[in-house]
Amino acid sequence: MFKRLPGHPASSAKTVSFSFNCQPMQATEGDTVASALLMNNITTFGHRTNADKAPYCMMGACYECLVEIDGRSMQACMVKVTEGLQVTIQQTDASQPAPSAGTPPTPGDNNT
Amino acid sequence: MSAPVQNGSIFDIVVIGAGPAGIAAATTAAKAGCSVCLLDEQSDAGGQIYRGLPAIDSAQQSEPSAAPAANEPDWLGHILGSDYTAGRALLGQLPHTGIHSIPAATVWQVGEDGSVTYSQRQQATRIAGRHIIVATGAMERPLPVPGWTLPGVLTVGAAQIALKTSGLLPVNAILAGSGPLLYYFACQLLRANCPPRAIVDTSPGLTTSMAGRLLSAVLPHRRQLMQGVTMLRQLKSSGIPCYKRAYDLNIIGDARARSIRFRHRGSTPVTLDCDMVLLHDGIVPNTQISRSLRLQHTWDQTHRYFVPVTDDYGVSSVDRISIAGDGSGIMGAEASAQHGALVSMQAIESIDKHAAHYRNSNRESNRRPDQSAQNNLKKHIASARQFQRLLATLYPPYYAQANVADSTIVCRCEQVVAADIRRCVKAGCTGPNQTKSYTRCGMGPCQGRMCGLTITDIIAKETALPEDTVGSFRIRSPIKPVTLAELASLAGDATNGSPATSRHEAQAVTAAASPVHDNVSHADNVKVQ
Repeated sequence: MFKRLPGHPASSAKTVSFSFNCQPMQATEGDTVASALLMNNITTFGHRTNADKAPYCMMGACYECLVEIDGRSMQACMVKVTEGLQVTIQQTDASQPAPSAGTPPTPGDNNT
Repeated sequence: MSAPVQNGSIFDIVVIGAGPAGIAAATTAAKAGCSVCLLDEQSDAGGQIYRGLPAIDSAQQSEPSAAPAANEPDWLGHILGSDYTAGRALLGQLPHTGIHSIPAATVWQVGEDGSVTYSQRQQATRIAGRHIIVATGAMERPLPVPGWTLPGVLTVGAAQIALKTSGLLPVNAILAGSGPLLYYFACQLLRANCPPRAIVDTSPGLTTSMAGRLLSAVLPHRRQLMQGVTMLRQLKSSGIPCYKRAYDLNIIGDARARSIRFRHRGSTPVTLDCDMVLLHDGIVPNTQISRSLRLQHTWDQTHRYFVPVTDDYGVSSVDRISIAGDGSGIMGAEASAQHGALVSMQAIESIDKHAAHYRNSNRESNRRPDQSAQNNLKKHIASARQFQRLLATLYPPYYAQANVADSTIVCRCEQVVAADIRRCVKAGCTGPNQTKSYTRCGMGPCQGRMCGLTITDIIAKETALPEDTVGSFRIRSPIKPVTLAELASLAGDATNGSPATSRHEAQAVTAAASPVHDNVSHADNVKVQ
């Protein structure tokens, strides 16, 4: 759970409305979608590769916070929330079973 | 600035990353009369270290009541610390320099020919630089412990970014791992009246023999060390529980993290309930661009990371590509800015040498860099690097002392566990790229950023080969996922660039217009819309 630091400009900025999975939510102008969802106590941003996904790095590196924004797959931590933004959880089926290590590769092949 | 940046635009210097190193590099070059394009993925300059600072300052200017400035003269300095507000000096230079700043631009291709392709608002643009300065900084070293993929587990840096940008405070969080940031952030939370539930420090602590060896290295850095000592004293008197020499970290939860279990100082396991676990294990250079360029890299055993090989001026194994700041080896924000300036001075000289005709054009005539100023910068940078080596020795990464447990997920994107990698090694894989083919590790959207170092570590330990021999993932452009629509937006616009005024420019335009040659057909990296 997160709370807002009193005195940070975000604590007195304009409120914007957006939705997550069609559920109306409020955020502060300047928040990223990731910050806005975390502030709304949303813990799971996606279900992919049979796992629940949530923000990890908040700086655009880990791609764990991918959500659908207005129908597009985007990193929640890289997009600022705007009035009326429609955000939905990213859900993909398990693409394929993970292949197990089978035939040993040719030594020296494809290394570095 | 004058003409808008568009496909085919050519600059003397293209700087990638607007953190301390990038800003300093860009302003140094612009002041010397070079045309400079500064690209950054975020909407404001400052890098991760000064994230949110421009927005906070502009909010306070436009509406002074937005912060309780009246009764707390420097609210920001009080909570976040003077190291953060120090960024104002650097950021303040940017608007006056005539730099083409392009915010919210994700760079996904950099070529040896000086081409740089980026996407901004789903639109791709390809520009070129006579010299490229890569200033993409560092990222936190991922810390793969059981349960680290559960929602509610973030990095300490992530929580700090949320605090800087949105004033978010993690409630009842446990900070776990190794490195000064653990304590630095705990102090910030303490000042914000939201202390963490506990600190779980996995660093092994100082042994007597180590202390002796470090003593001489410590002396030049008394000021920073005193800052650290003060910080530790504050935390001690705050009563925040601090578990030293912790190991066997285990995060437990179902749909989210609920508790953390660990051992410390040889004791029986401790379990602490919490809402959130914030992990940290030091920071490592971001090498995605340098790897995609196939620049020469080397393993740094003190820091336990790969770093591009560069000279004192940041010049890489390709002449026209330089690496500035933490990306060339961790040195900290202050030294990164100094390094950015130094790297830029060399880059200016080098483009002048390659295009002598250009020297008499519209630039300031006397630009010979002051040798003593350069030597001074070099001295400061060397000292900062030495300090970081000291920190790396005091706070080694978690897996310097342990092995990743078989059942721990190492590749978050594709849910590959350590045992999968070890099976590959048993089957004969000697490098990370082979494990990719067998397990899909490193092939998800993060493109190996979260698992690369762990996989090198596992293979090195299994095979007893040095990390340099094991190597790392082969990174290809696009280094960030792009859509087919973005690729399409690039096509057919090549002749639209700035008019070529010289032979050099004409060549660069051709380079910039050449098709993406790498692996756009590499389905894993291309996000199809």
